Amino acid sequence: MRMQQVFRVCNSCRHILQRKLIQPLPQVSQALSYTTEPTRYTVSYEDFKYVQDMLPPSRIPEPPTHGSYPTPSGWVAPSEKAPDLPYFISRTKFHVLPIVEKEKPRDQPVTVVFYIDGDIWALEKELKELIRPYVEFDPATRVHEVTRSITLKGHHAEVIEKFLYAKGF
Amino acid sequence: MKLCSRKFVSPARFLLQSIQNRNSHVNSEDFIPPNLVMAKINPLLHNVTIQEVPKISDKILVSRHCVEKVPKHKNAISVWLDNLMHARPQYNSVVQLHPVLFDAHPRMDILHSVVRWQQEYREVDYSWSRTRAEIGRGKKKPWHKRDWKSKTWSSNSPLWMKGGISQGPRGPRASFYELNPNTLLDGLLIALSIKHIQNDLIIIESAQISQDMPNFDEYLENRNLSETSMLLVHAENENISYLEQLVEDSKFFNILPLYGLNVCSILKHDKLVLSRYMLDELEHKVLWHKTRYPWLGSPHNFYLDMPGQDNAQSVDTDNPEPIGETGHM
Repeated sequence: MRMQQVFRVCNSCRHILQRKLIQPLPQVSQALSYTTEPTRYTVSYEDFKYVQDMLPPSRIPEPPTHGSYPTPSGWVAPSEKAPDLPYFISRTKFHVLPIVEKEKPRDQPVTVVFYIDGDIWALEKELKELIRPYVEFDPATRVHEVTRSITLKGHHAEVIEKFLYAKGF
Repeated sequence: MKLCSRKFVSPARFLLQSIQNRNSHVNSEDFIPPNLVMAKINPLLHNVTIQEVPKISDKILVSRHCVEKVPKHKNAISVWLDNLMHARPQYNSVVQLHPVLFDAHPRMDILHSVVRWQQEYREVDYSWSRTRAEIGRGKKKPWHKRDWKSKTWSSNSPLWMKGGISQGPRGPRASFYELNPNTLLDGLLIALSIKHIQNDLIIIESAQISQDMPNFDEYLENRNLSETSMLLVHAENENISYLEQLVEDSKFFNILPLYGLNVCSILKHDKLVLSRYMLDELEHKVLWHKTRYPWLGSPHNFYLDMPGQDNAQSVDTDNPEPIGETGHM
């Protein structure tokens, strides 16, 4: 009889214990777990200087003053004052003379001088005479007043560059 | 009996006389050609006394110099400085404008392409026509062979009335396109230059005005601006609340911040009124873009000194946040 009573109590205890185990487990302490807790981080700008050295400059700087011109590459700085001529040729944003040699289709080498202000026709006259010894026939030029440019037949960039550097443009 | 009382005149002399009579009025000082149109003022119709604007001499106080370097062959442009608080224009001080902005070579083709772009790039054509498949009347053959009629297979054919349209517009079609940013910038500079050349530029001290301002109608009358449309461009940090109240119901006066400046608005309004405080910012922005290297990539975050970048992730290395700051993601 006693054994049966004990067995009955044990059974009921077991049910109670089982019921408790079905309940959720208690929480693990926050210091230990790294899956539930949000990640910690530190902010520091110490190493940004290395990034800044790598970043490109945005604005094109002024070229440094050299001892003598022309520089080893052949570049000549423009004169500080505008020359006293009826026309003016400004440099490009890279501080280089605005002369370009192009190959138009079907064998047409061409030189273009642009960024011309003032009397373009006076400059055209001078360039024509400049190119005459290097050209077989009469030098062919085209003045385009809207785009402020002169197009010359043939590749004459070196000659024109020398001429314009001498004038001080 | 005399048939005509005129003397006989040789044909050559008659021609000479007629030419002289035709052009004799040109030499007189009061001559105004009848087809002349001045901004809303036709001197033949309105009795308007055109006030003389004094010439700018070297002794006048210059209240604003150019921020950026001026090209060698050009001089800074001097323009009278006006003030919204003064009833009559007091020609006291002068403002210097940068020639790259206000003396650009007037390329009409660039201006036209920019204006066209501004009007077209937003347009979406929503027209849509049904094809023969979309009519919705089915595929029934109208009549079969053996009738004394032409061949047919479908009543939705484009040949039929109320049939589908074969090559019609098909759905929303956007006319979006991008212009070269350099072209857009040049267009803006050309528009500003045109306003300056045609004497339609007014520089005012500031758009920030208090209630002591004189009567606005009086102000406009004294400058012959009663019926001219004006566009006032101001800097972002100016407090324009009172000016906004004044001008709210006006059809002729519009206010715009600097970042909204565009070619169509400039050309649409008769006069362009610029506030002195925004000239520095405008000059700096324009010349930064004119003298920058070509983009390596889209300028979203590493051109830290690009003007006008408010949303850029800027790292202030001079005043950094304290090291060791902790946070949670």
